[in-house]
Amino acid sequence: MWKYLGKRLGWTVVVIWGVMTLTFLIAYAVPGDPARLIAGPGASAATVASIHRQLGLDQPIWTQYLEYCWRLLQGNFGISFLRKVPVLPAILQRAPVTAMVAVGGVIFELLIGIPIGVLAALRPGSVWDRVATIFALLGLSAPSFWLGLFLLYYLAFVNSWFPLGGVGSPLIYYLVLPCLTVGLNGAAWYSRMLRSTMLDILQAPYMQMARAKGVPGWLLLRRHVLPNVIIPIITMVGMDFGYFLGGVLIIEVVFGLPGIGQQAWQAIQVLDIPMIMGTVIFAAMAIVVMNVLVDISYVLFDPRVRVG
Amino acid sequence: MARPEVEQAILDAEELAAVRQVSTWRTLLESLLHNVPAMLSVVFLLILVAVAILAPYVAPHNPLQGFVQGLTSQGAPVPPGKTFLLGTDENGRDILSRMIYGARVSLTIGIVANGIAIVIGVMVGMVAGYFGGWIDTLLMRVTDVVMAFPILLLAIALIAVTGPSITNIILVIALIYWVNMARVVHGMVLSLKEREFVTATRTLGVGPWRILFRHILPHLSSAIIVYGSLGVATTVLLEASLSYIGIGVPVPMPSWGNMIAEGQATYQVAPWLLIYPGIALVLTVLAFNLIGDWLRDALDPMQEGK
Repeated sequence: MWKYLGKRLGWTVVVIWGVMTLTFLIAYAVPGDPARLIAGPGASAATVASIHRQLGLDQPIWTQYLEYCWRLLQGNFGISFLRKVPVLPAILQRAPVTAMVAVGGVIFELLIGIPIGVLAALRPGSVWDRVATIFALLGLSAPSFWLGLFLLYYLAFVNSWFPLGGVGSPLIYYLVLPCLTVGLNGAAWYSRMLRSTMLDILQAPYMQMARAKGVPGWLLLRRHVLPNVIIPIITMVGMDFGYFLGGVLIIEVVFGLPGIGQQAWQAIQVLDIPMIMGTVIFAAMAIVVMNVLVDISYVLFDPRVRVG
Repeated sequence: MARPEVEQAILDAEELAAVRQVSTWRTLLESLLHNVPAMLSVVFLLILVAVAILAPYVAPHNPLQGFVQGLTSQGAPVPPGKTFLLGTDENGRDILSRMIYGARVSLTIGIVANGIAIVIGVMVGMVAGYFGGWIDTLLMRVTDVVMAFPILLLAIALIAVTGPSITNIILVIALIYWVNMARVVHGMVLSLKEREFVTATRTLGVGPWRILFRHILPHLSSAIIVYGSLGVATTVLLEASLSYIGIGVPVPMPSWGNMIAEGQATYQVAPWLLIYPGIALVLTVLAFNLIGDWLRDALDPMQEGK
């Protein structure tokens, strides 16, 4: 178990280093001089040169790289070109809205995806199974922004059951449609995964054995199906949650939610590179952290990991 | 030195052994006739490709021209009707013509970007899987790092730095998506290289590159076709998302994604601005997904599922 955890932790360190290196390379490739961008078009050569020195752009690339990594490790993600504020606090300030959409989205994914996947697996080849397959394929194929606008048009504009975007009070009222959009897209993956996992389990020899022994249905489900099905679900929830925490960018843009994604989108419009890169690093870190949590949860839920 | 006739014998044996894996065109066509959704998808995509290629002849209007009669007297978009079959947008441009030209953009980006990603992914996967050692570790750690990024944000960062243009979108998408193919190929090569025919060819003194391209690559073809087709679906979606955000296909060039983005401002009075490009997008992605599923079942009978 400790060997397993140590190995996963080592992997995490490598990935974090890789994320820092890759973002450095992308930022380094920016055409033009960032110092000139910060100074503005009317700045004198002396001003540009001094900003150049301030940013350490006159240093050799290796020194810049090491300083960049050191800054990131201290939580210094740079200063936004546009708003002249530190990037990381600006992101953290926007995080609650994004986190709420992430939680709500995962809840909808599970609420919609699990029943559909389970019903399809229990009656393979039935009408239910076909409906579930079609639902899954449509969910995989519909772009989230289109799905969101579709829901907005029918549920908020034609029938005014929900607000037309933005935030207000009570907040939950404004979060239902965004979370539902996230959930509908994601549920398709859950129902697909659950159907194939369940089919595998139901046909496994140990299930036939248990059934032959006369184990009652509910006990079969609790003892044999659930422990095997919970592991892939936890993996997917963890990955999704990490992914959403980095900003459900498109959803936030469609619904006008002031989260991390909307802020990144505003940064894109004015090429605010530090803010864009900061969001990318933050999002990658969210995914890495959730991956670690998923790895740790295996220890709790998967006896094979505990023993091995 | 390798003995050509012995190597040929091994190749023949591989081909015989692979018969069940790589079905002939005939059986593939037969399975298509039994799979209605996949057949409809193939027909739909063939029509779409034809329309995209023949866009200048098929499109009823110039996609970039704003028509005076394309706006109502209040300056609002005209709903679907006789002159403008699917209506016009807020600039009085014909939606149908824009969608036809948009199909060109979506399909080109989807297919070209995915093609490049497949070539890179297959190369990296084969080299890492076959040679093993430090090169394997290095290449697979790179895929780990790329996979740690949220795809959309990474694409945004890369395009923000390089500037939005069709070439950049294609390169950026290819640079992100090769990792998926590399993972799949890597796993397959790891098991293929332990098989007898590879050992036999190696004993003959055949070089590693020749083994990879003549003996291992043919066994990867089914997987490449399946994942390639599913990959086009995700690529088309990613392009649409980037165009929707405003860093994809530069306006005024029409793409289904940026048409929806532009229509968002007036969708309450003119819902057709969203509905038609959206349907085109969903149907195209759905078709590639259905074809991918069909190919997976048809090319790999060992896999359970129907």
